[in-house]
Amino acid sequence: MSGMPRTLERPDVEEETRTSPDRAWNVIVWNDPINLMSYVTFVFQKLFGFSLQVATKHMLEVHHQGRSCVATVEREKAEYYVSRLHGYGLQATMEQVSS
Amino acid sequence: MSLSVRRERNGAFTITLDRESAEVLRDLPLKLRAVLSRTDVRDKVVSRLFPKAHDDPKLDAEYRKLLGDELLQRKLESVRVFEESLEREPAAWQQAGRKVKLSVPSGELESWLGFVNDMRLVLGTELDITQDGWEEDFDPNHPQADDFVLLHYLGWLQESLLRAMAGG
Repeated sequence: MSGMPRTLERPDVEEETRTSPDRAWNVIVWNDPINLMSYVTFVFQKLFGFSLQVATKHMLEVHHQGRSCVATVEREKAEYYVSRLHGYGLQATMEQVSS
Repeated sequence: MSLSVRRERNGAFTITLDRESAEVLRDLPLKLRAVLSRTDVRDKVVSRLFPKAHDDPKLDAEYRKLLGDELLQRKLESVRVFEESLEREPAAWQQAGRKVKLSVPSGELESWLGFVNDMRLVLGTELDITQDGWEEDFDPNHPQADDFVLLHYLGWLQESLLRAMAGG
């Protein structure tokens, strides 16, 4: 992502499971060099209702680790989130949680 | 170059741009519409605006069939709203002076963000930006230096919009 580089502690990975694991899908957001860090944080707050702190944590995970799992949900919901993220211009994919 | 975004008491935003940059912004809806009319997914700009949802090509094709058109419509809607905001008050463009002052209702700001972001993705992809850190290597002699400048300018506009929306 594009923005002022900052040295911050690497955040812990926290994934929320809302459905039975065998049917759940992870929504993954990937790093890209054009989107601004502040914009990615805004999108996470807006779309997932994250606090600024949680949204920033996921944004930094994308920035430093190349990807962040932003939701673990059933397929239809995952498709919805991915398409909204694409609407905002973020690179997002979904992958089934391995049981 | 000057740029300011201010939230007014009535909730609307006042966006003040220098005339030259404002005229550049005015040309962008046409450009983005032209890009959005392209459909070949092997086109790198198209594939950046409509990225894959699945690694599995079959699942990805299903996703595109199901949600691809909605995504295109959403992007076109941002272009439409952005353009409407720019052109709503012809007087803003006719007044003499070096600045153009636009009043934009708060409900239109998200379309501005979406439009500006899509435009940045188009420019960044056309410029082959694939790595973080490109901002530090600006070369004024680059054959596409103007596009780099525009990309930076749109980033500045986007940051300014976000800051004003957050109330900062």
